[in-house]
Amino acid sequence: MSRRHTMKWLAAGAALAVLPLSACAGVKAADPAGSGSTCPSAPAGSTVNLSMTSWTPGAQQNVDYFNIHVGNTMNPRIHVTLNVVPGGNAGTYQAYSNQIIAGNTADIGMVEYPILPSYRLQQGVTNIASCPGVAEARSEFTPAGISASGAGDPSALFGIPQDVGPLGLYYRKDLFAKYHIPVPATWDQFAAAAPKVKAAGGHIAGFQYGQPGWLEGLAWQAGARWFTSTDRGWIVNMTDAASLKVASYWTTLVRNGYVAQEDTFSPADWSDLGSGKLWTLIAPPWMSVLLATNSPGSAGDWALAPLPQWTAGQAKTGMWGGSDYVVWSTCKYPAQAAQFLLWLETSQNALTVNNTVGGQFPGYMPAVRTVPAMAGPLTVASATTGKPVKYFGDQVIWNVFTGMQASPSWQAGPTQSQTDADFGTALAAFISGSGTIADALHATQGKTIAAIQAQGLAVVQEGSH
Amino acid sequence: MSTATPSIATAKPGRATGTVTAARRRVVQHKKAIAIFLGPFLLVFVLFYLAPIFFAVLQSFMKVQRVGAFGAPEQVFGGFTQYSTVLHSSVFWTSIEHVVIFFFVSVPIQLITALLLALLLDSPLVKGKRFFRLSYFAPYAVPTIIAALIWGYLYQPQVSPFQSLTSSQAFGPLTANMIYFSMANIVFWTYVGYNMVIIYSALKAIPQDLFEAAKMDGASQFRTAWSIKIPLVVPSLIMATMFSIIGTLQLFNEPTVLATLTPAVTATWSPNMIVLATTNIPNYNLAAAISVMLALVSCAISFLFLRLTQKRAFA
Repeated sequence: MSRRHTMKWLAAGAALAVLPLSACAGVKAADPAGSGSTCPSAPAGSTVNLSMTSWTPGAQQNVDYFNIHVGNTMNPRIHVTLNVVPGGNAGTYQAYSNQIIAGNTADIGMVEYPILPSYRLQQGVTNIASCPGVAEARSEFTPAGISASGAGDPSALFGIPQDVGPLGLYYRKDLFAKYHIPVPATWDQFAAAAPKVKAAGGHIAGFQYGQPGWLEGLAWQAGARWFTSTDRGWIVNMTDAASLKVASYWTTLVRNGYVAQEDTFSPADWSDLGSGKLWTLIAPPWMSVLLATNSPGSAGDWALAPLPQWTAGQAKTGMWGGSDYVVWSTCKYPAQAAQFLLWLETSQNALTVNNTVGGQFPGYMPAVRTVPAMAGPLTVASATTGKPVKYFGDQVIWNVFTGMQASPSWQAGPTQSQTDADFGTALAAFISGSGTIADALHATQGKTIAAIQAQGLAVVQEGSH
Repeated sequence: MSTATPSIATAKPGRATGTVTAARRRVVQHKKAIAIFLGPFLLVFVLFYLAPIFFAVLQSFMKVQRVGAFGAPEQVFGGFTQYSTVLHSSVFWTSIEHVVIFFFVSVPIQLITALLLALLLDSPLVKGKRFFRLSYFAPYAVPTIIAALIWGYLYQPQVSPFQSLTSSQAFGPLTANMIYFSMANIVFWTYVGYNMVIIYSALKAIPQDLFEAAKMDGASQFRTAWSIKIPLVVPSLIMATMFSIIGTLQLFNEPTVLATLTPAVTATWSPNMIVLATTNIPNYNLAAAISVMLALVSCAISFLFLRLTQKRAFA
């Protein structure tokens, strides 16, 4: 009798434990992301309530405006509820993964480009390429942003690009002028300037090893392509000629002592950027506001130049970050979600808020002409007085970013967060004195292949498909 | 679920005896009261403690299968696949090595200091006991993540007020040479007062007549401490060591903060950091296997420690 009771409890426990598993099975049974070309829409005359997750500054302002002035006039009417969350790597990405398993994602979520393939792999996102208005708007977005939003499927769109992250060269205008060193336009000139900067008591750049997105962007600029998805599996190639060229270039700069060891976004890093120890910062548009807020003392000393080129006269760049709003598989009416997102990422109202509140450089290319705020210099509130400060003087930094193109051929990997973390760890070993960046790439490639295989995916050799 | 609860409460004594007699059964009175008091606890215990553990173990024996580059995941039984990955993972064993080294750098000095502080507070010669007791314990009220951030600021030469102490290339607090000591310092600062309170309360529980006897025998304060107090607080010391062993193996906050400040601490420095990184991929099956392995390693080390000290502790 008592034993039977025990069995009953064990059985109950087992049933509990199995619950989440069967939820998994539910997700599995859903239409595999990417294959569906339909775009369900709500019936005319109804009201669609959309839930949305974001950490963009100003998102609430945009949603409120939309609900009052725009959503009400649409048919079906659209009402959006925003849930403001911490940044992706601060826990939200993990929450997304859990929500996908539980089947309770919101309708719309903010996702950075490198992470998107992971959610496609988890069957969490919906292809909205065939939704009304999307095909027409597609060509107006930066090609690299559109390519990233397809997560490996050139015809698909799992989200609408919000901002893009082309790398530029932030540099200390005052110091380069004071020591009569020309601002480098090519990597050769950059390497030539490095010893002169050292002689002047500074470092031409910091080696931000902790978050290696900038170094991946430089490989991207040089023509590398680390990941390719094929019908048979993934090609992983982190050690192609372009990547090794970039690796050897930076290994030399670091080992000669021209580049300082810095951990990205650490207080020490910001301090060195403000004090004149670091003369340049290779970073995307979103860094402008971070730089202005964290190194307020050097306001007016910084300017922006195009990223140095391997061949003079070119205008190539790579991206670090940038984000999409994706439509999750749980969304009942992707047509209405797409309609809202197109407003959010192309209307002058919304893009003005994104740019002035969050310092965003939008994926929507006409914005540099249509958004008045982007025709002027970036202003931020001074940390000490609270008054608006023109951090980059009168320079319109957005024009510099517009002048460069990131190749759309780059593809993020299926376990990119692991790749980035392991690359950061390997670079930490490099910066501590052991090996080269090429060694770090080899090590990271090995770990990445293991992580991809652990996902049940095949890793195939180039040319074998 | 609540209707089923009484049955387990009443069934338990039956199971304990095995051969149940009618007379024995009558002993269980107030069945409803027992059910009402135990029910809520058992419900929460099963839902949020047993079920997750059971689920984690189950997950650790599964693996994912897919077709193509973006195929739908299919969870299948994987046997010991994940455990084999963990056992062959140099990253995992390196992280265990890190925390074991950290244990020896950190815990002995911490417990010895806690013992000395407790003995000082217990000594009749010291004034202002309440003040000191509270000040030693106060850092424990600071969340460890905040403590690590503040110490991290102090350690970084660029922003630290102690430039001459922190700017050494070879022996600065964030260099590979010193990182164990720097991290141990943060943990020391946080936990020495906590361990002191555990030992101090054990000192307070020693019967007064022992001290009276010692006094009549002419024992000095030092002699009393050495021959009476320390032997009688050994069980508390062992308990504090056990907590420290488990706490050290689960070290997470301090290295996570320091990882953003120095290349000497990587994002996979401690076992729990690896679990987080693995769930971020996301690879829940492997993360579950790492967690179970970490639990087994903790069990093994704790068991070994207790076997070695059992006679002293519970004689």
